Amino acid sequence: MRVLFVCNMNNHFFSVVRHLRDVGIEAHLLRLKGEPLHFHPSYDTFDLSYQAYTKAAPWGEPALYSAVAPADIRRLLSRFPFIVGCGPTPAFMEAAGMRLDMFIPHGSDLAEMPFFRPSSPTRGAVSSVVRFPMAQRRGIRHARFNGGAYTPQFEETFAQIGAEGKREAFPIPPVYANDFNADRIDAFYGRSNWYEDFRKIRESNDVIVFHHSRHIWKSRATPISKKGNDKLIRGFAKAVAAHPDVRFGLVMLEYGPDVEPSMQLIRELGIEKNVYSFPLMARRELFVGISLADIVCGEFAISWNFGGTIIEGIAMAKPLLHYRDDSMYPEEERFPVMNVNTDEDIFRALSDYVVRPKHYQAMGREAHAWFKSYIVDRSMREFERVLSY
Amino acid sequence: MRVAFVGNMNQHAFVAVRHLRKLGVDADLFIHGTDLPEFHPSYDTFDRSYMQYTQNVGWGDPALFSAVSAHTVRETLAGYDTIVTEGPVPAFLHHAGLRAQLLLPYGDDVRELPKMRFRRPRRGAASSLVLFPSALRSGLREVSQVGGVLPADVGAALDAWEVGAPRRPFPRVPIWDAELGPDAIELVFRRSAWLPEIDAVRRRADVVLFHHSAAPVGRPETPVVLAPSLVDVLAAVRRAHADVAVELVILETAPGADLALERAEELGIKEHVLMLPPVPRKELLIALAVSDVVIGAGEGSLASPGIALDGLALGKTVIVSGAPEDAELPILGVGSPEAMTRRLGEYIADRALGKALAQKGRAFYEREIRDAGFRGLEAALGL
Repeated sequence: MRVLFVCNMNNHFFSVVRHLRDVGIEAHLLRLKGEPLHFHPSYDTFDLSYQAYTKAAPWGEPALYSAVAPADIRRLLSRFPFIVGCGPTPAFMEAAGMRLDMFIPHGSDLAEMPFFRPSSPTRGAVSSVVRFPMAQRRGIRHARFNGGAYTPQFEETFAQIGAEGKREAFPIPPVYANDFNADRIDAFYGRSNWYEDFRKIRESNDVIVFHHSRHIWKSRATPISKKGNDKLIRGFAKAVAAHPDVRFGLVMLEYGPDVEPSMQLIRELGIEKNVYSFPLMARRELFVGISLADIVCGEFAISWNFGGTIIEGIAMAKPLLHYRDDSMYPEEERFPVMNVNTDEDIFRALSDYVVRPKHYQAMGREAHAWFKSYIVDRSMREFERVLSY
Repeated sequence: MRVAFVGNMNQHAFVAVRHLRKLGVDADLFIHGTDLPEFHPSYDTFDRSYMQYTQNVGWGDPALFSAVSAHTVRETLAGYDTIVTEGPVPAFLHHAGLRAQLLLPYGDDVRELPKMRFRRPRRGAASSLVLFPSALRSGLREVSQVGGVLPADVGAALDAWEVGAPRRPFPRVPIWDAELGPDAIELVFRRSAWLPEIDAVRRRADVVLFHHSAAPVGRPETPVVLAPSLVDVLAAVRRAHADVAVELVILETAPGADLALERAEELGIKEHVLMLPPVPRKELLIALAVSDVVIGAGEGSLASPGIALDGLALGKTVIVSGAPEDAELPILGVGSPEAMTRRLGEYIADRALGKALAQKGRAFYEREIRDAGFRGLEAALGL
């Protein structure tokens, strides 16, 4: 069966397409105009085979919605009997008089795009400001299936929009597990921009903590954007001080509005020599770095169960240092984490890692097994079922 | 002497900072709010040492101009006795009561940015729409010197804004030879993500053609679409020289790249065209270094060299579509696909000729771009 995935926000559909192709489904990817460069498939792979099943649409920007000819949309979509979309796909398919088979929202495509918000009009497509949200709403309403993991906020919005499609609540694999796993990643070391640096850090440290979230803890931001990076830095500094015989390394990215405050805090705590900064990099490179670390960080400000850094860590079978309020999630959705909420918790967890590394390594493997069965294998089964309708 | 370079359009400031630091000058680089991701230093080096002298500053976006305090700008640049800048930065300097010792305009920053234009106002900074252009014009008038590449349209724009500072034209140096120049670049091959693909082309081809033009960022003009006709040229050259393996490497970002692939499929030569994904400049230069002939479009002039400079810098034969045969740069100017096919035929027939042209190009680059550019910069800074 031929299936087309439209829009590659966060590189998630590229991951799904690869998984589906591995199980024999002829899946293709269509990138939309205006997608950020770092969601280009090449940022998430070390090979060019994606070119055989990936195309770029010359349309896809909400601000230019009303300037796109329906025939141009149909030209790229009509050959596919089943189309899965996210982002603005519902609106553009509506414009083309086509029905989206499955909508898998990434967030703002469901929470914001279907609702009118004043924005500056674009010359030649002024009516997009009004017509796009209406079309997005209609497109979502008419989709045959609504996918993606169960999320209370999503359910509410689906109901508000009057979504007619069947709800198929299952998570999709945001990471391509067949390349990015602990057993295979070393095949890509020779193609990495930063492997040499990661290797040197590995050789000169006993315990490496990998932290690749944005730095947002000091500047003004919505509560859900905050990452609690300062807790990690303080807890890490305590661990460094408490274990002078252990060589601790903390790898971080120059990413987010509070990089400089984080660096200032690192200087104040006197741990500059233990901290290794890296530029923002393609996700494929992150997996190389993660593979050589001992512990991967999630977030420390508010509780999350899923998310980019979380899944990237457990996909590589690393123990996850992370805050999660277990009472918020059903048991089957949970995997083991080094659950921490304060800098003191982080200090204790790192100290315990020094004493019981094997325990935490086993935790990483257990989390990976959960990822493989609950996210990857389950989603493939569910996709095959939905596609057979 | 402490020098702050604020802004890194086209990675030029990063090259300048590395040069000055090599001379022992305490030079730092500041990346500001409107510097594009591809102009981050990490896109132009495999060495993380840039972090020791590079900072991101939260200001620099014209739309948020009125929300930035003068104190913030002064705090960033405290302790520097020389400020070198470009883009929207002179407006912020004016706002902070600072002045740039050297302005190195890239073009649109003096042609377009100082004009009053209607843009979407930003919450908390709506007055930027009016205040920014006015502050930029004031900031431009306050600079001590203007340097860099100063073609006629830039000169006219400076005149129009009544910028009275002395002008010292000199080339901007686009490549840091010590890492990505022809004698050094092989040392970073092992850090490339795409070398295996490029190397596979290199191993099976006698002649590798390379095309890396990209649509100009944020510019309204229609880019020159060269990629599809290059496929026709490739087919013609392969037909005419059946005993020579010729292959083409292009980037997905090249205008018309998708049409080029379709054309290659139609002509049955798709396996002779390698399409590379969007890559940072450091990766692009590796691919270019492995190639033989660089092909682009443009005037072939020093004032508007386009991608020709990359080819000359890496010691390659450069063919420029649209350039005259007697172009200012040591390139092969061609006016049509047929002429390009002919030139490539000559290159294949006499590789020594191509080699001599490449050497001449590299020598020109060293003399007229790299050395002249660094000398001009040093003179402007009083070194």
